[in-house]
Amino acid sequence: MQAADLGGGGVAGGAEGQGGPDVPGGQEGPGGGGAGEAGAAAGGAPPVERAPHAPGPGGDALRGLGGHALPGPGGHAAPWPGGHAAPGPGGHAAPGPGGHAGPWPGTHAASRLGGPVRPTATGPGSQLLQFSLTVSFPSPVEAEMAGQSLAPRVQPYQGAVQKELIVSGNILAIRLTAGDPGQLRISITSCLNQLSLLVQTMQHSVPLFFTKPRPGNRA
Amino acid sequence: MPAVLGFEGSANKIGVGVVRDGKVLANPRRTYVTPPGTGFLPGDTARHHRAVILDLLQEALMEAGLTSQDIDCIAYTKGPGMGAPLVSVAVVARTVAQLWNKPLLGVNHCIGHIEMGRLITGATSPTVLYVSGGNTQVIAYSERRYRIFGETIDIAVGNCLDRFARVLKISNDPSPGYNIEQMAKRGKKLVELPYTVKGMDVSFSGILSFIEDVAQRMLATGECTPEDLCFSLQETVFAMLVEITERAMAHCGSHEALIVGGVGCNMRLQEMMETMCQERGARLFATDERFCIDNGAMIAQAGWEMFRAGHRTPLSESGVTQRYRTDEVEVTWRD
Repeated sequence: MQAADLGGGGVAGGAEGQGGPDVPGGQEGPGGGGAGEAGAAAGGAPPVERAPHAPGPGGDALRGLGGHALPGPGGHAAPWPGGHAAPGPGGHAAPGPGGHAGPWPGTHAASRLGGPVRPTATGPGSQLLQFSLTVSFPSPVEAEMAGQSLAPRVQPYQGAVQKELIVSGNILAIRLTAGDPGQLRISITSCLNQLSLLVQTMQHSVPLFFTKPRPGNRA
Repeated sequence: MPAVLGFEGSANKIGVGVVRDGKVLANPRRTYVTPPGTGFLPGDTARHHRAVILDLLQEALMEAGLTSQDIDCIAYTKGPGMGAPLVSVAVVARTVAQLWNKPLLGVNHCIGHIEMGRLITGATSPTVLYVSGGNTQVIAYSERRYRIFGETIDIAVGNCLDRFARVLKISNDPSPGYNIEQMAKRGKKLVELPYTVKGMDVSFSGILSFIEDVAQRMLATGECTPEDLCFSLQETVFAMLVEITERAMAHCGSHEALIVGGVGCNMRLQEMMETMCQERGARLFATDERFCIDNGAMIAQAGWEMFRAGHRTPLSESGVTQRYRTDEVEVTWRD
């Protein structure tokens, strides 16, 4: 996660984050931006390169998810420090409220936004934490739009939180992976804020999409 | 006659503007104001922007008398600026561009200021003094780039003023710089402060450290008043800016100077620059607070120029960047 947006000189929560310690904001330094914004990420995870629009892996299509609202605090979020860590890659993805596995392993007919993702390097004894979220949209068009709106990140991204977006039908699946619970928490908040804003923008711009049921969509 | 909708939200101002063929059709804006003694944090600022941006969009379209179908391009601030606010605005811009099926353009914030300044004032090829809370640069156009001739080597002049305002707990409404300007008008005593010009560049962190250090002591002993300190700080930092601008004008053989950016609203700065320009036989251009301060129309205007020149920003490249140099952009819309 970027240690960015220093503003008045302290560390805020990163470009995607919600601010950090109580340090005055504002911009510093030539060219604007936070003075200390050097993309220094705690944990030293290697930067994740993103190639444009690589197709997703093959496997079973998504089933049984239909119509997930944004999960509440008791949903997919990774536990706070002191609780049980969610398994990292290679373990089971957190199941949805209907008990079905998320789209990640063996999903096909899905488009992965943001390109291929490299495994996050961790030190000995560390454990990756994950947050997974699936959101259903009225149609595949809106889901794809949502994915395209959320995929781009602050450039250059040198943080330690991996973000994966997969669109499958009318479902947008988001997964955040990090070794540091604090960074993951900030990234989750940022992601949910952006998602909320995106949905509001869609509703504001094309309200009928969200008020009328459309034929062929799952409830 | 392309019409461009521009989103700006790189700092504590959020604006949505509409420009068509050199005419500003709409330019509503909101400012996130924090209590005296505090600055604006990225997360809080982004939260403010998220809360008002859709209303501003509606307001802009209504003011312009246009619908989504009348808009030809969506422009947004790609950078530089604060990360969280930039990201929030970019999400809306991307979504609107897809929903309305319009091309998207990422605009450099600094170039937005310059292009709006050129449009409003009619300056042809000025030496630009760009001064704001986040940036302090002396810029001139040459061979397809806005070249940076001089700049701050640490903090922006507006940042210096804003942080001094916090020391004195000066109100941030409407802006700390404006309130410092009003207090400076009542100042009577010039307090000597460090004057730091390094060739074509300036430095403000030292003067800020100094004045933060001495302010409380001098005020406590009655050596000076807060108005005196405001006056002294302005006189010193503005003189530094005038010096480096004049140096750049001499280097370029320029007969025009243009002030842009929020600090450019300051009438004392304009007065000092005017004096320098008159002595050189040059002409000074400046705009008012509608276009000096960050606004959506400036992004729309820069986007209009870029759109006509054939620029487009694919969605996959529509991220934001907190550090985006003015001279990184190839200015293909000028000769």
